[in-house]
Amino acid sequence: MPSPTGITRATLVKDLRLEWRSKDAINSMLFFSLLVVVVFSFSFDPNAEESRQIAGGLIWVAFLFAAVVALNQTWAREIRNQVLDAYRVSPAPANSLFLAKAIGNFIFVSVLEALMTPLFVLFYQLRPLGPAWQLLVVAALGTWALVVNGTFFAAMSLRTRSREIMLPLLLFPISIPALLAMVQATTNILTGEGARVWMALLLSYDLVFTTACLILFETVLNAE
Amino acid sequence: MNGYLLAAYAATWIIHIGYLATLVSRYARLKREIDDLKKK
Amino acid sequence: MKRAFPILGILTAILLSYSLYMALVVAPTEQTMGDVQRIFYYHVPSAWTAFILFTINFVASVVYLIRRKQGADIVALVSAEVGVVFCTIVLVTGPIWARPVWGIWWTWDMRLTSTLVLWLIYISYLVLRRFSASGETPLLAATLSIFGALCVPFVYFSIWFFRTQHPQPVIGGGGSIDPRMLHVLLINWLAFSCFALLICWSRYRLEKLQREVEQAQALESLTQSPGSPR
Repeated sequence: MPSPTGITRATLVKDLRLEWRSKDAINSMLFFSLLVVVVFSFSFDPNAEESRQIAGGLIWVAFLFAAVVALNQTWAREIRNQVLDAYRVSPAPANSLFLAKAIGNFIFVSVLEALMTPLFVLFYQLRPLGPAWQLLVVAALGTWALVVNGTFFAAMSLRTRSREIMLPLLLFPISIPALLAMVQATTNILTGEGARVWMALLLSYDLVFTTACLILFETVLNAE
Repeated sequence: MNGYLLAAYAATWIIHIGYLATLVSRYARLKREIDDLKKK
Repeated sequence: MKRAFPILGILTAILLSYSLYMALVVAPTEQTMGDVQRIFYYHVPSAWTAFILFTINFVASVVYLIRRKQGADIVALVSAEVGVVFCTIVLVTGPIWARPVWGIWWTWDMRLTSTLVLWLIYISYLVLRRFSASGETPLLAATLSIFGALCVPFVYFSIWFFRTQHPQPVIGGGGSIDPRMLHVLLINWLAFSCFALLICWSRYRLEKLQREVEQAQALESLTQSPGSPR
């Protein structure tokens, strides 16, 4: 039997290949990113002085929106093809499946963020006064925080009524400390203040919840 | 007595009594279902 | 055991009346805030009770995950529901207190904000319980409870650090408390704890009865199904 990391990698590659094959996905992602930024620009006037101060928050709300869109379809393919039942009876560790899904979501959301960021920088004339590389770290840590819990809660929501609203309903409250950290860190880097503590908070949040998800996913998968 | 003070205390008891009322109505409905079952 | 319930009921009624009297009449009037400060005697005990109930929910959830006993699941459900009730009271009395004292309804006060987040987490817990497929509800709910508990330290730290960066008014005041006020506070807390126990006990009995009825109904519909041998 292949190793757990082998299974993770295989599942991940399969998912990515399936997504990449449909060019529609890429085009819709591009358009989606543009739409989000434009809508935000109409809602929060980029020329107003205040908007530059809340840009950090705006960006993360947009990213959160993108994350929910991505997360809602995490298990769609598996449900359609009854793959989960096969997973339950196979000796493959549930963790591998979870990790593959989470990493896949992370890549998907990161692509959306990479498409949206230049547009935001353009519309809001953003110039980070602090070290820009830190923004990448915050983006990675923050995205992972949303995606790891989101993938887990998407699995929990599989058999609930109103599945699509269940996911954000579960995800948002738990994510509040992480969201606060992401937004504050981004804003601080843009305004040139220190973001170390917020980044440390994000890192520990990621470690704690990744561990929790890995330990408890098996239970959720087999809940009946 | 201060208006806000009264509002706060009243709100507390309204919420508690509201919750207890839902318990009572659920219990009444349950009683009816038990009677239905007993009849069969 | 059966007689304990009405005895607790009477005791609770007496305690609640006495503590109300203490809060409104006996407790000394606060210097700066005046009579409005008496909200404190309802606001704080409700918060403490809510946190205790949420802790019970966490413990019951862990017990359920390990032991899979239905009793633990019911305790988890009951403590979450009643906890949300008390938590709602904290979130309602807080702003009512803040308005006359600070002129604003809300502030990112440490206690109020963390209570809000906890309230949101537990509302999502109750929604999950309501909406999930009944076979898996106890397990999923227990898992969510653990996630909530893990989140708590992060909630407190993030709000605390946020406040050091963006100073905000503190509701309820810090610092030492007059011993006479402390006494009234503790009496009210005792009264509300007994009240919480009473409510939880009733809710537990209700839930247990409900599950038995549902089982009986399910059994009855199975034996009544057409085609089954008479």
